[in-house]
Amino acid sequence: MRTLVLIASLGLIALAVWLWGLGGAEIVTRWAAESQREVQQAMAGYLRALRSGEGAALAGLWALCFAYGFFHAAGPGHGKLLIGGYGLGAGVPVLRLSGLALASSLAQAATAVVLVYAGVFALGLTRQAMVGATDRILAPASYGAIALVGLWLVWRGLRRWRALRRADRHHDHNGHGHDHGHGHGQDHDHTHDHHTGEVCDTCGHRHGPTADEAARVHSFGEALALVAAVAIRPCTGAILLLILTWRMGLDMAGIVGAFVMGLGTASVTVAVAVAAVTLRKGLLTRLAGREGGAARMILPLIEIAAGLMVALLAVELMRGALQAAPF
Amino acid sequence: MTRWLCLTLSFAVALSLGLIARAPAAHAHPHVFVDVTLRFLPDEHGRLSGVEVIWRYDDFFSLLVLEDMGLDPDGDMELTGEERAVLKGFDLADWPEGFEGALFLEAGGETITLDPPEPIAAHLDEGRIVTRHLRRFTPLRPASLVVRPYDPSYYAALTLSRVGGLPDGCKRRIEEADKDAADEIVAGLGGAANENLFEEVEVGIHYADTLEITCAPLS
Repeated sequence: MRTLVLIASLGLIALAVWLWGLGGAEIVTRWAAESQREVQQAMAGYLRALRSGEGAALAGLWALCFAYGFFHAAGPGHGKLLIGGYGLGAGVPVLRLSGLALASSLAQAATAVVLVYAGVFALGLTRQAMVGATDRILAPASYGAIALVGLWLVWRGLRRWRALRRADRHHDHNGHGHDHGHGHGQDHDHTHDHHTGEVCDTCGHRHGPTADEAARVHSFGEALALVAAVAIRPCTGAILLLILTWRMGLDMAGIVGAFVMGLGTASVTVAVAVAAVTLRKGLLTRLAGREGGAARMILPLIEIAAGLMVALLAVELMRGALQAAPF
Repeated sequence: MTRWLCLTLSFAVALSLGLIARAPAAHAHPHVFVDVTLRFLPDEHGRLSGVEVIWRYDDFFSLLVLEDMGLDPDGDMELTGEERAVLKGFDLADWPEGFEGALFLEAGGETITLDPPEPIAAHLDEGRIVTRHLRRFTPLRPASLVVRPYDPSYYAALTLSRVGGLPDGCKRRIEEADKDAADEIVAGLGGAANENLFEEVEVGIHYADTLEITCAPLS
């Protein structure tokens, strides 16, 4: 089991290095960009068919929406950056993070619906004005919010690290804590191999300093911040679809389509969530095997590093969005 | 002591990873796809005096424009004469600052100045908007003329599909864009160090098809 986890984590690390370090993301984006023309053409075909009363085209349109969401999420994107970085840095259960990934993708679709119906319908904005506002204002705002979440992870990691040092000094004084931790680490090695992934959750609880903070990870406010940071920026494809379907009198087909796009996006972000949590557990399992103290100490360090990466990449994205062409 | 080392190390690793990683937003990809036909206008002396540009837009963009303008409300993909008149010149009005019509001509390294576009007509063909307009220029008999239809910002991807109207004694050669090479160039530009990528560098030219026209001198 431990070997499996190790292999899985190594694979994920390699994937991450390929994606972000060696330009692999570029290849995936190119892949998505190349299919863009075919997707647009098919979508136009389905919309025309729907307008002329061919109900069967609805399934085709929604299937296409799912594929569109998937392909556009497969490239580099802000949602994955946040979910991945957060999953790596903070100790979140995999189900919870997957739920957050799903929620943020669906919330993103909801933003598109609200924006189009409020903007075009109520305020009479043109299509160009809508897309412009999305790219010029909402995109950088979203990246800014993500950068803040990253910085917040850094700050929290630093605080934990300091708390840990204080607690450590205390342990050293009575010469008890270290033995205790050590013993538990070995115990897990020998008897509970199939539970390896949980070793560190246990460590955290035993050692106290991170326990109360671990609880805070699950706070509702934090989940809300995460979802909102992603959802501020709706997907351009969803906006165009919604404007078209509204003009063509196919409102429901478009609104459902936008959420189906969100599901397509979520299929990728959920995978990223699982990957991030697995990677974190793999790392911790390895370290915990050696010495209980090392794993405990590495927790805040991982959080700081992940937060820093999220913040840096988000700022980079924001800079790009602010300088992008005014279309 | 080791603790501080660990902390510093994790900062350093994260910093370098964050800085090495490419700006993911930098990848330009087109939103509009256009098939281009160029029909040159020879004058009575066998010189080139202008070019008729035919843009055939993709299905999706055509649908967007039709819906924006409220044309073809019945969706039968047929435009009335009135609707065609409304559509005529829609893509020539309000060119953004710096947009020169996505057509670039060069003779012997000199850029040929094109007159403002004159709309000819617009119609709908199988759901795709097809527009025609004319660009005149000072007549010339080029020993070598290089023509590239492209959108510098690469918002639209133009593909040169047909060329016609060349006078006797002129040959043409079309070289398709090497998209992989273009992608690599763009990826190379996307380094975090290049702050001006989005504003200064116009990547469209790397995706441009190239037409080369060579004419034998007039006797």
